[in-house]
Amino acid sequence: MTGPTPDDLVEAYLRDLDDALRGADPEDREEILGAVRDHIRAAREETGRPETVEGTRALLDALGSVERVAAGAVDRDPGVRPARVRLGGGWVPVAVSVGALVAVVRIAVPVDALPFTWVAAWVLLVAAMALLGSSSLWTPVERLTGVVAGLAAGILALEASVSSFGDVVAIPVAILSALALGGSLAVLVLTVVRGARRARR
Amino acid sequence: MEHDEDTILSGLRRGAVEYCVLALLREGEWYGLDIARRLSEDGILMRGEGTLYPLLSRLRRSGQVETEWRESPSGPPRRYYRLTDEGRATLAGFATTWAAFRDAVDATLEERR
Repeated sequence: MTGPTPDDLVEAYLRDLDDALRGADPEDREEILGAVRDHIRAAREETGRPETVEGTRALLDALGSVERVAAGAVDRDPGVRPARVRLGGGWVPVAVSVGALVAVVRIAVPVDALPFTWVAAWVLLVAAMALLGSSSLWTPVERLTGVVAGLAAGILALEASVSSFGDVVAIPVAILSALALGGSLAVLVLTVVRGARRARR
Repeated sequence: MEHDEDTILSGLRRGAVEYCVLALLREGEWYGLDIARRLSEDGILMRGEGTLYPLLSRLRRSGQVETEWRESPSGPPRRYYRLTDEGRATLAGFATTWAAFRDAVDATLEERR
């Protein structure tokens, strides 16, 4: 079995480059492909004949990988790694807010038909807070504030659900708890909104 | 995050290599192969000769360079690149800005020692 010839290597490189340039402007794609083809042809003329496979590989290596060449046309440079954003997608604030609010409502409002879903509600709340605490959309202080506010909202919601059976003496306490619950949720919502704005940038 | 040499060079190339192409063309017309070899000979300004061609395409489309096909003494016609008046003005602006930028960077690096 014979290996690839120099012509085979060149054709394969140009074919791969054409594929890699698929995301580029069509005019750019054609121009770049033509220029690289000219470059290879001129370089091969300089080396003279007969060409060797090794010489052709060296010529193509000097051009660089097709991905690197194409990156310049589609404004991507594989040499520059994009800054990694830990859990920085737009879904994170949505998941945190929906998870926390659903959990807090379920904790605050007992559902007799679904007696054990309060466990799921706490798991959901803890998961939402873990997500908030792990995401790079928030500063360390915001993460701490948000997590404390979220967990406090859960505890206050639980307290509210229990105290709903209390007597008249407990009413002032219930009012204070309700205010604290509202305040905790407000802090959590503000924190989430900040993260949502950053996710859009 | 610590940046390795390749990452730093890639960032610097993004802002400077196109002006180096314009600078090469300041004195006359160049063929693509010769520009690529000149800029990639030390591995600093360009990594991979092929990365020149998207750059040349952008410069041509933005009016900084223009091209002309010329007969080759050996083989098919070759495309030569030359600076336009707009490209010359861009290069002059870069040269002034670069000097100030380089001095500011050097001064800052010296302060850190």
